[in-house]
Amino acid sequence: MNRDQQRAQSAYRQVSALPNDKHKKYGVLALNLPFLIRSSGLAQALAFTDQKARAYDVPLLDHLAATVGEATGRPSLRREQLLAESRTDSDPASYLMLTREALLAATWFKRLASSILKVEPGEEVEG
Amino acid sequence: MTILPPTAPLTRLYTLHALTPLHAGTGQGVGDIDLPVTRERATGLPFVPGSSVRGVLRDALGGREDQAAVFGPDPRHASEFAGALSVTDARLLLFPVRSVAGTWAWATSPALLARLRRDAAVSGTAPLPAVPTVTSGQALLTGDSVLKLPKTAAVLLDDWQLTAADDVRAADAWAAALGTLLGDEDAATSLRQRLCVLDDTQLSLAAELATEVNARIRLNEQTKTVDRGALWYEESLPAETVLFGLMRAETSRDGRALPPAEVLGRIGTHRYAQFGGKAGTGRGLCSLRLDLDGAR
Repeated sequence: MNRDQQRAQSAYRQVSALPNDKHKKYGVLALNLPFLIRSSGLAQALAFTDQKARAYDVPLLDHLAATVGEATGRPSLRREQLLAESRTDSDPASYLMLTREALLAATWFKRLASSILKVEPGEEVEG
Repeated sequence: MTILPPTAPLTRLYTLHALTPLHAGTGQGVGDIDLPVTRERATGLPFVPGSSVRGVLRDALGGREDQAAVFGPDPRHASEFAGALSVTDARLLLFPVRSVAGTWAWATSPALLARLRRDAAVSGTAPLPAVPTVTSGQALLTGDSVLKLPKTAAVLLDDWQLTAADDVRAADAWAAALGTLLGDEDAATSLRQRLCVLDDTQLSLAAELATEVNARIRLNEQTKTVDRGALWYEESLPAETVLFGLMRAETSRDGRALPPAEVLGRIGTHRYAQFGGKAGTGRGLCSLRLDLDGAR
């Protein structure tokens, strides 16, 4: 399996196990995450999404960390560690590498938000 | 038609300086961006296809005879003779990155400068400075750089903290050479202040992750609200991106046998034109310069 297949498989396994009542909130956050990473930088995008995900009680960042971990040979990577690395990684090249990995993983969650969770671009979470 | 003995082809360097964001797109993307910019398969670096540059120039060149001589006859008569001008892809030379000090940096890297040197050698351009060496996390700045935070060696570009190297000679030499190549006094001044040579990995990642990405929507004509699902993301090379390529002219085959220098002369040394897509939203206004003399 190549690395993108690993990401796809990991993301699919996690997204398809989501309970129905989480689909909309999870999907809206997942659809926006890649753009947020590009526009605001990794640290800010993850911190913002983490805050939202916890408020909505959806495990998007747990899933993202697991997928980044599986594709980079760190299967024990957890949400807290991914957030910490995005905040404290001082070497610019490794920060950018982490950004790229997170973006590639987030892209799969975005795709699955459309295909499995049936959330459309521009949709918002009510309330 | 008398066939005259051909004059040796002439190859010259051109630069494309984006004055507004430049969207040379692929039409569709499967990644996180719906409409990404074209990228070289082997390097991931953005480029503008030579066919795109050539098409714009063809459109801009007045006079049907000249158009046929330089670019070949119109498509209905395309089989009669070939055009006299070939244009290579425009490849990345300078990529703007936001900077805490000095607003923005003009970033490049040893690999990009080496590719420019190689093309300059093909085109007979006067020799360019040696390709510098940069270590990871380091930034080579000029003596007049505005990119360093006051009283420190720290350079904050986008989200990344780099350290300015002590030696400014390499960046100074390249700022002068690139200023001459761009043929624009304002750009030359800006280069003396903002040129920043990063290591290749850092530059590649910047050109991948620090492009301009805009969210676009389509409104429903009746309700004036966003159509369902009509939100998409478009990528552009930021304004101030500079690319370079080669133009190669042969003797024209249209019966007038324009020599290569005259073929390139029809393009001229400088013109403003719109390149790439999304012209309606102001994308792609560029300054194109052709180094006609090949000298400095």
